[in-house]
Amino acid sequence: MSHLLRRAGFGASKAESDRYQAMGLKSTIDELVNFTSVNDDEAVALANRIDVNGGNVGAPVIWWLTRIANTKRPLQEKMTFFWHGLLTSQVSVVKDPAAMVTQNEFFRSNAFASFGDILKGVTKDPAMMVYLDIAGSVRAAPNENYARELMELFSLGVGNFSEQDVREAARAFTGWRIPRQRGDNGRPTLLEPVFTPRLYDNGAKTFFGKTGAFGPDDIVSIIVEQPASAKFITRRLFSYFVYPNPEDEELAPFVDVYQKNGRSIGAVVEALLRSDVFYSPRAYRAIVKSPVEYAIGAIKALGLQAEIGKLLFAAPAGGRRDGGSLGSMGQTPLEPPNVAGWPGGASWLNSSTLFARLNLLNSLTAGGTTDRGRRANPAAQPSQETGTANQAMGHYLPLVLDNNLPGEATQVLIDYAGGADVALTAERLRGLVYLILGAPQYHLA
Amino acid sequence: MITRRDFLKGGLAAVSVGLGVPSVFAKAAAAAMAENSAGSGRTLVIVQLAGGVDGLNTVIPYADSAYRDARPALAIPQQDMLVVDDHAAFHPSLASLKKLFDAGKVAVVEGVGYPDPTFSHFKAMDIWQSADPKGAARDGWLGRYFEGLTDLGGHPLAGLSVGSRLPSAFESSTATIPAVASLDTFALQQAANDKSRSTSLIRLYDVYKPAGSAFAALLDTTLNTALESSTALKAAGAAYEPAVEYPDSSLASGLRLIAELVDSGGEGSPLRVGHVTLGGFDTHTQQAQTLSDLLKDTSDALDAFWRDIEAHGHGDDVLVMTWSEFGRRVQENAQDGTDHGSAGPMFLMGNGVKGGFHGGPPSLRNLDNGNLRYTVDFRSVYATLLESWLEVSPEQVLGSHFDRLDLIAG
Repeated sequence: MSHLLRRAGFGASKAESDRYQAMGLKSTIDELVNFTSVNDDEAVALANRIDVNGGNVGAPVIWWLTRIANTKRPLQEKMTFFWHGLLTSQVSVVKDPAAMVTQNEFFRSNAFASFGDILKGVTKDPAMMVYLDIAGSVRAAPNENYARELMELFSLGVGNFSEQDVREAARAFTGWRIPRQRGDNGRPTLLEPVFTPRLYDNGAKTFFGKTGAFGPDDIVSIIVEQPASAKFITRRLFSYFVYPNPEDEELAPFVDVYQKNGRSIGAVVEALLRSDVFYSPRAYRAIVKSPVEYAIGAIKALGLQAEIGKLLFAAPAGGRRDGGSLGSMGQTPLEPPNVAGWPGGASWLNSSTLFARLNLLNSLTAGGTTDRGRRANPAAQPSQETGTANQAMGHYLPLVLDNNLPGEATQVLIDYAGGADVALTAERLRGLVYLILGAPQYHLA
Repeated sequence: MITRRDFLKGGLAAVSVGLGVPSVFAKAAAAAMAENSAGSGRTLVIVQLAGGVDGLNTVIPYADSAYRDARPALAIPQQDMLVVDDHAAFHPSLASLKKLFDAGKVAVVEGVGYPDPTFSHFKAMDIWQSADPKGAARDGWLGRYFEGLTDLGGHPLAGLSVGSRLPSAFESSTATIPAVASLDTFALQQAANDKSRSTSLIRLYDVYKPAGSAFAALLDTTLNTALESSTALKAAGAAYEPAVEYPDSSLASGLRLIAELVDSGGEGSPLRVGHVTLGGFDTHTQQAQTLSDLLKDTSDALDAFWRDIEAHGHGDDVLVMTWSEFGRRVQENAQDGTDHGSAGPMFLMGNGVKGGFHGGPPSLRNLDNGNLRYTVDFRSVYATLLESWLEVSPEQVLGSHFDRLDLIAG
């Protein structure tokens, strides 16, 4: 169950964990995949206290993290992150935080749609149009940026298209511009995209062996008809939810589900979550948690999810351009390093990011300074329902380490506490919780 | 004999009680230096200019009218460019670099690329960092270099990458190179009056050895490397006085950190390879201002670094190399920008380089689908530096033979 909640969500609070345990695995999956029938007003209201239209670059990040940490639809948020990591835009390039929220809501409401519809939608998304230069591309000199990344990074992969395909597709993405206007907050905001027929190349294009006066939707339709695209997106989903780099044979049943269900993303994800391979030993702790998963999991385990903005940014609603603690860990949401998104896997772990992970735990459990020298919220301390090391471990080990800690490691914790049944001082308790969350296993989903 | 782990624990404990440079560290470092016999005692500093630098507006082939024909909006006006000789000029933002060039301390290798170039940033970066245009190599060329050094357990900072992500050039299955985003935050925060929390944490990583986990060893060595290098960097930083004021830019502060390390070894620098990245060169639109700002950042940071290095007496032992994953399309696009292209120039800087132009300027008239044809394989530059600067076998690192260039003096 904890494995499922790590993969199909961002970990769980004690209350959530107890509730899902009582429901059992099957009903939990039913609820996770049918997320539209779950009322999520509370999380939405909590997030909407943050003004995302104020022009503050960090505000949309806190808005989103607040939703992720408090949602009753964890799989929908997990899919929203999937799409953000695949169909990337960077707020620093788009330069309109509100447009990033629009894109984020598109990913959320289309989280389980068909792959073709998602690609068609994102092609018309203003933030994407600015990010990859659809906006401003004209018939006389088509900009190839979107056409290339659409095929290379979003849908097919290197080697599955030609330079000719890039040049032809780029012609279909011409004719659009997006005016900017200074908004009420004094910052330029993106207006509705404007199409100018005279700047659009309406001529015949030859794309993957077909010839026609193709427009943007036609290009996407032809792309998703390519078998390479079915494998590409299924592989990405498998690697995101189960384990990285599956063999073709392991992938095949899910490619089949994809093809037989109108290229539905939801159908593939549901099949993955119900599959044997998802619960196989090879999948267990086989993924390195992203910084967002690492931080939110810890915050939820500590029951502090309502205050996430303060905890990660030392600022309740303002946010910071540098991404606060998450930036030091290597992942500022809405600001992937480049159009390929975060590479993930072992690349999450290096000297700097490991310090940042452990130092976040220090600030969460010990109320110390945050990584950039600001005071963490002094209320950020583990709950006090625990008296001895045994009781503390009884609370936290099932919640964050699947109650699956080898004896040698358990002994390290007991030694630190000074004995299993010794009453802990508040300071030792915090230290013990730091060690449980700081354990090497906790880096892995 | 001080083991790696004794050193780690000694260093950590000493820092947590604030004793400054612990003697155990000094001994371990000295032992490591003595054992670290492979390699030259010299430092290679690699500056990655990410995004694809427009080489034609950086080292400008102004004498060829084809340049102006291809760049009606973006060509640098003749009166602004810094003319070097009768074939090329530098971008106006490269004034400080031009001075170093005029002093014979900068080499420009023109037309650097490789066969069948890719136009994907990521593929191209992989190719440059793995030194394998087929993309089959799983590790980086610098990772392979470090694997070949005799003493991997020696000084923790034989390699250093500035930035929160480790470039894939350093990837290796056995050698772990630290990545440092900023010196202020590069430390494990201790619990007040509670040293045992950190020692317990280290034990948890020590005893984590699940069968079949791809990540257990990575987690343990990453923690070790982080703690060791944090101790060493603190010591280096505390002892260092920069001789110049560095510009306020991320590239400059990265180079400053490298200068500290270069100077930290007493007899000789412990650092073999340092890596720092400046991004943003992907100028599809409104290129003129962006490129001008970025090149000025680059030039001024390199200039400050070089004056600092020379003032500390390391000018003969440090060599800087810049690279970018590709140049840009010869013909500008309709948005006052340029699209992905192929070959571009590399800069080398140091007392040890043979200043001036190397390689050959690529033709603006004999193009490959609108792109420059390369004149020098980047692996020839690597091979030259590996052999003549770092003094290791290029064939061992690169897997096959590449012609050497006449880039290194003496």
